Amino acid sequence: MFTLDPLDERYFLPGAEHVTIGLSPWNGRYKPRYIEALTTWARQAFGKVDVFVPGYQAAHTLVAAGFPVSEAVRRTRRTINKLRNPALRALTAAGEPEPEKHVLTWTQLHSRPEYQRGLARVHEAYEHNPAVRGACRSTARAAIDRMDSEPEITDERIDLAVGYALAELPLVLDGPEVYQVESTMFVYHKEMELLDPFLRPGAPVRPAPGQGYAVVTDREENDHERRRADPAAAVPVPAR
Amino acid sequence: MNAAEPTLPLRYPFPLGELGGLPPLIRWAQKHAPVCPVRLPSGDRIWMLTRRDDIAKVFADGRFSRHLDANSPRVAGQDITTVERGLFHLDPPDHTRVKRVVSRFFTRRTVTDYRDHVTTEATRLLEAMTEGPNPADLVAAYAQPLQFQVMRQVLGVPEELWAEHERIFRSMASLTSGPDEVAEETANIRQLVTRILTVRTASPHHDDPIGALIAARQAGEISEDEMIGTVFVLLFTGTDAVIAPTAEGALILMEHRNQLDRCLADPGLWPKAAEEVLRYYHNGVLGFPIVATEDVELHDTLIKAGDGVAASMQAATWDTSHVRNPEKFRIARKETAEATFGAGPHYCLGSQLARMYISTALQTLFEHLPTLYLAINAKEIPWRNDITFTRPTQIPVTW
Repeated sequence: MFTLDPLDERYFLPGAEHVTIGLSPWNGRYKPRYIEALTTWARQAFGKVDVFVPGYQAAHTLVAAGFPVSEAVRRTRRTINKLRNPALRALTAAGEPEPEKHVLTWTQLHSRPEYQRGLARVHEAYEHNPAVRGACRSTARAAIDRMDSEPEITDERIDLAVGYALAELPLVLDGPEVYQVESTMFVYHKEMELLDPFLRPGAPVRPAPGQGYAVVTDREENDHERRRADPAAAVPVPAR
Repeated sequence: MNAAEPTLPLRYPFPLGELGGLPPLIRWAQKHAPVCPVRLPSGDRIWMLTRRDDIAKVFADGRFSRHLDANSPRVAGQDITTVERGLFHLDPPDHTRVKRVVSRFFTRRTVTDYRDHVTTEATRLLEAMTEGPNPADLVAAYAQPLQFQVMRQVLGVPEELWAEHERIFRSMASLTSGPDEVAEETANIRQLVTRILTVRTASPHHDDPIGALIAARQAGEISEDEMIGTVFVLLFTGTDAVIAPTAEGALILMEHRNQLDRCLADPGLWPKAAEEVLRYYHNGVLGFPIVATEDVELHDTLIKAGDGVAASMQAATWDTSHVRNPEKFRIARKETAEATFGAGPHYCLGSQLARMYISTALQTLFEHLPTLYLAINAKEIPWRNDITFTRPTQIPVTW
């Protein structure tokens, strides 16, 4: 059972017709069971769902963290499959007629002119807006850091890894255009620093009309974690 | 009609085959509906030809014309076919007269003069690519800029307009986005043509296709509209048309490593590889329509005067009556790409240039980076089938 919390009340659209799920690589949370459960729940809750998986730029994060290129590419290919397959299984089981069209890497989404236009806008904002640039670079730095990078995180390494954030942004800023729906809620398991500059007043690129955001929480997992940390909390509490 | 048969008219654009292969709907039409009704994104209806013999016959038949009027069918609105009196739209004898002005720049012998230029630009781009992020997108780092850099010099685009040229052609209008986008693209190219001609007319004469058209206009051999229309056609077909086969050729060779290794071991095979790439892919699923000037019957179908007819050149090079196992990519095959370049008086002006260019671009790429391979699964390569020159939009590669 999943619940949604607003990231920003202005962009909370629980009645959206569609939900967008972004799956993160090399993140302990995105295990097959979690992905399958989240996708199944999202389709039931919203009716329409699209799941996106990182494209080839994910390898740049590994290279920036010191992995040899060939290993980075191999790991990325494997990870993309591992993220995609549970989502595909969930949609197939839910009776989605063409599940493979709803679980795509952003490299695959590059076939859509709507995504290409969004990407061009994001690159433009990255070039000219310091806040956007800062958020993208900070996200890239954090991603490299999570890989236990040994080498010092230099500007050059961030330059290499930042393509990941840039490629992801069109999907979270303008899901309605890319997925051809009136409204969509982008759900992620935590707040995204990357979105901050786009939600502020006077942002150079704003989320498109019909684009919503929510933090999605797996209540069962949370309860399980709480019980582990505090056995007393495992005592069932009667419903009010 | 059983469940496996599609509903007619077919709706264009068609989903592509695996790895950009012939769309399954075209295969179906080739077998079951050789004169197949198709509804274009504009809403207009045309007849689609998919058999090589039919295409050759119809495109050489004087009862069909390239000259479209306001009521003629269009793929997606105000596209290139609305530009009056370009080489693309003229019928003989006007076509012959205008073509003569530029044809000497595209002969088999002349195009060899451009080879060093292709190699130099290709090498420079590959050096830049390998200094940047690995993996990289081969379309953005190589296939696309190479065509810009080579063709602007081959055609004679003045240097001060290179950035403008690149800006206008960087993204192609979607055929399905409605008539406005296509009309805007046509208007933008038209403006660029005007600016190019203004700059070039005021500059000293250079012996290149645009210079030759200006000289022919000044000598009264061609009209103003024929000059403008033909520069438009040269830019349109010369700027984006070989991005597709360069990208697709690299892709399919990486997926057929044994054949790639044979080319690397024997450079004499590169022209064969380029030929097979051109046979395997065509950079547009369906060509622009021509119109019947009188009633014509073909395969028991009446094509009425004024009806549009379009051909799938990829179907012609995948026609099983002429090509064995066309779905197999084989550089050693005897069949050539000849049919991809059309038939009749409008046989592609740039066919020899395309052959040299693709052969050189692929050879330079793989000799520079013999271990180049795909950074993602080939099935994840994004393709666009909604643009005039169908192609992959990204090819992530690593080395």
